Amino acid sequence: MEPLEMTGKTVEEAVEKALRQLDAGLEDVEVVVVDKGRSGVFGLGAEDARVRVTLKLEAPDVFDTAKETIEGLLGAMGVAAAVVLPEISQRAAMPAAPPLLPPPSPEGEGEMPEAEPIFLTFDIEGEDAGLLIGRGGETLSSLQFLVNFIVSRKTGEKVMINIDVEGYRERHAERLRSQAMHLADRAVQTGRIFAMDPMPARDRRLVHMALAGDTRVRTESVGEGEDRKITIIPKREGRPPPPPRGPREYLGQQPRDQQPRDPDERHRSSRDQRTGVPFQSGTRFPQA
Amino acid sequence: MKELIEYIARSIADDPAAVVVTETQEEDRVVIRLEVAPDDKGKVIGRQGRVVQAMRTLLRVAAVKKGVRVNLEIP
Repeated sequence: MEPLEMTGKTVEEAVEKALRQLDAGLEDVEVVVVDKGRSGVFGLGAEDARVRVTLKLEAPDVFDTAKETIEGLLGAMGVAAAVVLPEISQRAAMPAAPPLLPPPSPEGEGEMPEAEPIFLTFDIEGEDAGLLIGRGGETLSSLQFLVNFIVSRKTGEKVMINIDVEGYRERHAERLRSQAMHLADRAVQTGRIFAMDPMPARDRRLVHMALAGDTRVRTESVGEGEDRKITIIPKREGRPPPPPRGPREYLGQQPRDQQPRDPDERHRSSRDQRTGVPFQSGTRFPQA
Repeated sequence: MKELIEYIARSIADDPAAVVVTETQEEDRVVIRLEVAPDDKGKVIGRQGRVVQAMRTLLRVAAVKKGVRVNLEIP
């Protein structure tokens, strides 16, 4: 949550204005006085008071419900694992792009400006960590999905609860980022479009974010539902299109070194595509 | 395993009292049957079956812990 800066003749007035704008009570916010201001003499030398007001995001009720729900599910599953280090995540830690919410909107396009969701992060540790992650993180995704679903139903709040098991998500995110950057390099070198394997919205978002600062390429999602995947497209300017001759063998060999090394990553090799050919979901190219 | 499905279904249903979960042994597997009020059926299945799919995934973990095979049915 970005702090709101507000000025007023006095600190009190500035805080009041901020509260009105945020539609919040004093108990919902943290106030930092940046400048107390001065009243001056007959308006001469007067300086406005300046305050910084931040909405507290942690509704204890949501937090408790989330923790209880996770513990309830773990208990009912009979796994040896427990919630540790529950920490309230800061909105500031999130990238600036509009978040893709897990259950409600499929792509989070448009309809954002209502209530800010409440972000919470929980970590789970224990003997059964591997079981809880599941193949390709499938079990963890299901757990997270259900916890979000249940907590938002119980509290009526918009929540975005992140669950991690022994740092799996961060490692997974790191792998995705480095794969994305590697493919971006390949795309630039070859002038071709690279398609990544289909992945869920949160992973696609990670890739979009990872390459958002790379001016040499742009990313685009294509395909529907389970098949939706990211294509990494080199920007054309200043680059001659690749020569049309003799690309066959090259094309076949290309994705070889994209093979993921990690066996729990289900990514097969990424298929590339000639520039200039309109991309179509499901288009396959012969493998070497 | 029954408790897991009960827990989830009761958390989701508008009418938790109407949630009935039964567990029966059938040959090589356990069959869990989830019944809810008619108005709650859509909720426990979820859009594109996402809720029931997530329930099945978690149920599989519970089954692994018990060393059995399990099926979830919503009649």
